[in-house]
Amino acid sequence: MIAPDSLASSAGLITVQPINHASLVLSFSG
Amino acid sequence: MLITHAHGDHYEQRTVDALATPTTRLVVPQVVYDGLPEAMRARASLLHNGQSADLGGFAVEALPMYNTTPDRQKYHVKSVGNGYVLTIADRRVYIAGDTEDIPEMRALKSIDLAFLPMNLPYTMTGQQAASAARAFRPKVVYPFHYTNGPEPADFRAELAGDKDIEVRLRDWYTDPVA
Repeated sequence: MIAPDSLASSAGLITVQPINHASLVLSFSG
Repeated sequence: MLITHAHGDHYEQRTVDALATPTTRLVVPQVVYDGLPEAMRARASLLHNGQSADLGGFAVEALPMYNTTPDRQKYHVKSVGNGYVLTIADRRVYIAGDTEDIPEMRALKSIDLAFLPMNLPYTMTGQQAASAARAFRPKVVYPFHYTNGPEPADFRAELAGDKDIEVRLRDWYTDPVA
């Protein structure tokens, strides 16, 4: 089960987190 | 840390100072590079539109971001800011920056995850953003950079019938203008 704001890749999970209307964090767990 | 342009809601030096660690690398356009303290410039990758950098775990390519509607071109002038395409493992992520649905966006290929801005007069209408999404067909797309206008809902409605593009409209912004 992939978290709602994540995307699976060949090397791990890319997760999206908003900061404000112009900024976001992409984290990668491989 | 990828910074698209120098407007205050995208680049504020005290925020960069608060977030940056000694190993943080920055990717910036010239207009932001010029505002960085000297010490921080040493670990910044200056990218102009069309240039790329390998950051060691992923690659980043700088794309144009600009307004095309005549009375809105003053907000974001071509060649000043950068949108970015990141390649992370086998995924390509597009962060559009502040832009309208420019040809460079519409021509993108193989985008897995896209972030499209929508708010007038600075970026796109929901219909513009949906038209762009139908052109370059990201697998997943997040509306962002919106405030209290109709753009995100319009965007979702426009793409409701397209099963190959997943629109992730989140209740992200408790303070939309923060």
